[in-house]
Amino acid sequence: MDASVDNSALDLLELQQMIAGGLSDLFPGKLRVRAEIASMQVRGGHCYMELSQSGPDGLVAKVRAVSWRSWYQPLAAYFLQTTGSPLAAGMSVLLEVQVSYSELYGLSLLVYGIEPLYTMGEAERRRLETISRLEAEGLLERQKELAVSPLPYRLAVISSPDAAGYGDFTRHLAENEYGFVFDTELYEALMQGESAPASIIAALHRVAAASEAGEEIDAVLLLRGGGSTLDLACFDDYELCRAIALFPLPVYTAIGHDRDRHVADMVAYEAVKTPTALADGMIDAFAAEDERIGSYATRLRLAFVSRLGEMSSALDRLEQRIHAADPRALLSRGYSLVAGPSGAILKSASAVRPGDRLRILFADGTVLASVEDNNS
Amino acid sequence: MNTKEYTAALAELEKIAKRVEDPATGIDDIEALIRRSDELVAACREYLRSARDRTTNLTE
Repeated sequence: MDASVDNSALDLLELQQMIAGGLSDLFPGKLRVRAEIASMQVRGGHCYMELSQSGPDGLVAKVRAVSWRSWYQPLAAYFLQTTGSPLAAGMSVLLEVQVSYSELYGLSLLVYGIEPLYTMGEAERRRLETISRLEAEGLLERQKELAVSPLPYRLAVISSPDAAGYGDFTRHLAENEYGFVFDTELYEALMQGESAPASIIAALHRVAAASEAGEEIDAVLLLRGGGSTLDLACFDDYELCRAIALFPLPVYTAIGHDRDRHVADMVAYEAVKTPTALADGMIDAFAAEDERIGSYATRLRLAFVSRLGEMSSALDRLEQRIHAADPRALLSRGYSLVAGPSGAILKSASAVRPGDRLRILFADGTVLASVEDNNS
Repeated sequence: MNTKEYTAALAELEKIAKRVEDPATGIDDIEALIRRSDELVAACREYLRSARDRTTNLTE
């Protein structure tokens, strides 16, 4: 066969035009498609994406997509307004697309619209899925069984150093009115977006390694200053929540949100709404303990003072008893006492014989006397 | 005065009380006993006062 004169062969352009024509016959209008945004890049106002779908064993489908500026800008604004988060890689999306085939660039999807509620629903579905998996594995309550220091002060903080929540927390803790000193160490991690779970898990590993190396750590704090539902969807990630549940030290979360708790909060030892509230809680625990100790000191002092009071009264009673028994007390009231030769006070006349020498005691002196007669 | 001396002083005061109460004790002895008891009571009071001061200083 002479290929140069084979009129049945197609030009590449002809082939591409045929594919384009066939595809346009097959997909004459717009379609709705579910996919995950594997990556995205905005250049010159246009958004270039790679859409993908994963099965249990990994990637099963992938295609390029583009949203031209005039479509992308209203679409992105609508998405942000509805969900509170910018469209980002890692999100599950429901898109309105047109299949397009370029003779030069091949297949791509032109993106015209998006359904933000689908993305939110998907995030919620993943959240529920994470909960049921952890529940099936018996991990939801695992952290609550840990023995925890009642007064944690050596704190491993996992956060992003420029996160507002982290700044609020450290400032609040440092400026407490009682002057309690906490020992905090930051383990940096990304706190939002699709890379956050892996980044936080890596930070947890660093904390565990420090603890195994002998560093004393009372608690791990996961801090973030709030964000939209989708920003915080990473805290529903199964792998992250599992790592928290299985962590050997108590994990406190303060992720900062108003709606239902995230799964990370559910598996954590304790969850509070904001980093500031977490700092308050820690300070309050120390303040309560401080007050308790103070009240012990007061009670101890009162007990001691009252014991001293008893000792003092016992001493007074003894003194009074001795003075009351002193026979000379009578002398000042005008009586006189008679003492025998031994100096003992005489209480009976029958013991006295004529000729005995006696001493008569008055308040102002003593008189010596001798007995002439005894009529008793 | 320390705690041990305080305890000994109280025991001596107890003995003095018994002797003063005893009718066989001579009046001259009584005088000496009363003088001794006054000394002991004064020392004990001083001990209690300083103990109270120390408590106050410790906890305030």
